[in-house]
Amino acid sequence: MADRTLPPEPPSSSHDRPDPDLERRLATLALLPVPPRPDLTDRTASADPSGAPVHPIDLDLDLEPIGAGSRPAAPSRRRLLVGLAAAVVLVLAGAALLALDRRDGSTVAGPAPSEEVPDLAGRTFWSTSVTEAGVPVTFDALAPSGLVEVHLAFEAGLVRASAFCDAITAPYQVVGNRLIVDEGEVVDSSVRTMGSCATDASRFAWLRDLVTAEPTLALEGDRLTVTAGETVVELLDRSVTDPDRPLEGTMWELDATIDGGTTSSAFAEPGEARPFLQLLGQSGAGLRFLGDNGCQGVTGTVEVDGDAFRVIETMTNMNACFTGLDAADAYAAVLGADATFAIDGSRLTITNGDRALVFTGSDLVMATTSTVPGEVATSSPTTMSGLDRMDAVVATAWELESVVEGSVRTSAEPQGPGGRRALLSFTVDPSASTVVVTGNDGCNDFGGMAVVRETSIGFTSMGRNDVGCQGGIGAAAETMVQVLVGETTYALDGGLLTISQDDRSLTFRPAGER
Amino acid sequence: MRDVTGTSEDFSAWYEAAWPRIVRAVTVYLGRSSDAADIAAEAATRALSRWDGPDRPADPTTWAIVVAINLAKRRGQRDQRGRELTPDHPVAVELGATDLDVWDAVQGLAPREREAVALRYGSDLTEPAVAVAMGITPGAVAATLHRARAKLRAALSETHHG
Repeated sequence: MADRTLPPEPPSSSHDRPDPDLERRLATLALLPVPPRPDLTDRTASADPSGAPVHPIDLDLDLEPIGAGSRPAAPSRRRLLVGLAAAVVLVLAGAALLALDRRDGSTVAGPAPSEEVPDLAGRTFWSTSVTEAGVPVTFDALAPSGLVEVHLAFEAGLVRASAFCDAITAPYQVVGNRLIVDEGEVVDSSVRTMGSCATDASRFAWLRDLVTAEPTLALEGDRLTVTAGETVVELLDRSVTDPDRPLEGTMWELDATIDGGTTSSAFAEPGEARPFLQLLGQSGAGLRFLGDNGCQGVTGTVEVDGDAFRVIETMTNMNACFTGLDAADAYAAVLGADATFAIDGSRLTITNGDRALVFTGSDLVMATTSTVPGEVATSSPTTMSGLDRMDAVVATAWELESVVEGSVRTSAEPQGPGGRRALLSFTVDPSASTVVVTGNDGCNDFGGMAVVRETSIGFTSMGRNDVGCQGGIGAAAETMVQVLVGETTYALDGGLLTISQDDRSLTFRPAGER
Repeated sequence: MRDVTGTSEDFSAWYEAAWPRIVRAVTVYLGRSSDAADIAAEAATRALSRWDGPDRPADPTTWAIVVAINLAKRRGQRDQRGRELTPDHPVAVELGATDLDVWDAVQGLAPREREAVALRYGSDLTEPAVAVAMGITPGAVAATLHRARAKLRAALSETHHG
């Protein structure tokens, strides 16, 4: 039957114009949830040392069969920590179970519970542990971890309980320490948009039973415990588990692009920058932003007012793009005009019409490094430690003073009417050991990524917008742009930063000092 | 930067970026989530064992995906035998934001078509890379994907009307 739909001509990629709707739906295969990757260091011994043929096609021949011995080895530190935390919660939950059981008993036997549960209205909780008789609740391997995660939201007299895409909504009351939900009023509010979310009947039934079993509630600060018989759900207030990340200063990495009703996930090739967006701070009328659309550097300014995200100007560098066009298109479409934004936990969505960019912000914990330009290091001693030196380089906004090429020193003076001094500054990317580089050669903006080490700086993905500058940008600024590519060495001396590559070096002083 | 695990920095970066692509290729190919992480970890381990040596693959991502698919084929065969004993064996997969109907339709494809779809869409490999991975010409990849898309369109329109 399917064959009847084949066109008569032999298919080739140039003639085969794929149906955009099918392409979009197929692209959702790249949204499959992925479990955390294990630490491989303990596994290397199990890898076959025989040396497979270099061409991968032949590999089938020498793969050892998979046996019990090739299960993932010891978990990574992170997973181990999570495991420990879960174990602790488990113990706590066990204790809570005992305590609550006792309380339940007393409820049945005599006096009403003394503990009134404070008002839950307007609060949302995410589970940290879900157990039955002390054993974590799972639904086969449905979740990446196999574990179920429950969200409870209390709003305007309604409780919404969800686990993945299964959800119920119902009017609720809290009587004493019990959550009272009438089973007849429960509404199935599972997410079933375009079949993009897996629902599960047994998980749905479990959720409904939990909520309608008149479970007891125990609220202690941000911690809510819901107990129904042997089922214990430990939850934390969402403001603790997933606080809204600040728009400014967070490293927003592109997760997905939305076009109409279709979501496409964003990928980066290894070694290539993942598309990102970062708001760097006030610049004239708006906030300066910097990003990467998967191919080109993007800079501009935006006016943020309430949920309005009004792009004042946006520029990309001149890279020719072969891949990542989806993200590049989406950046152009969404950041091309007035948009709106919303931050929900670690998620930033910038929407323009029916198109949107969806970003995930890096953990706040990592974003502790101060990056106020020009604040530090105007008189750095030469003996400062490597870490201090790195901090000073990153925390200072630099102005190009002079360039040495071979034995020729050229001072960097503003060129042309209205010319500016060439500038260089860094902003920490909290997600990695890299920093975002931004600068201006006196006329054009440039930017990219850098890794700042104790005595060297590696510049990658550097790009520049060429706007055509009256009077040119001057030899010194031109040299600067050429030097800030690839691996460089640097020194801080007397508050001056010198960045060198081969026989060329650039000397910067903190901006605005002159 | 130093890495707590002692593995080289560029491997860690590669591993982080390649991990979802390997896992998704295997998940789409096998049609289930179980085993995918295990297989992907094994493939990545093999990449790691070659990372600093002369056998380092030129394109480690494609290489690791091929290794993983080959491992998955073996495991798939083994499970096929097991499944004959229990025909209604439920297959568990967490689909997240993946289109359920497309998922089901892809699982109905022939293994070779499913492999091409897994590599092209699950791993987001380019068609030339899929050709390298499958050891066939780019033209054959285009033909395979063309056939797969036609079948998927037919299956999806059945879902719609049925």
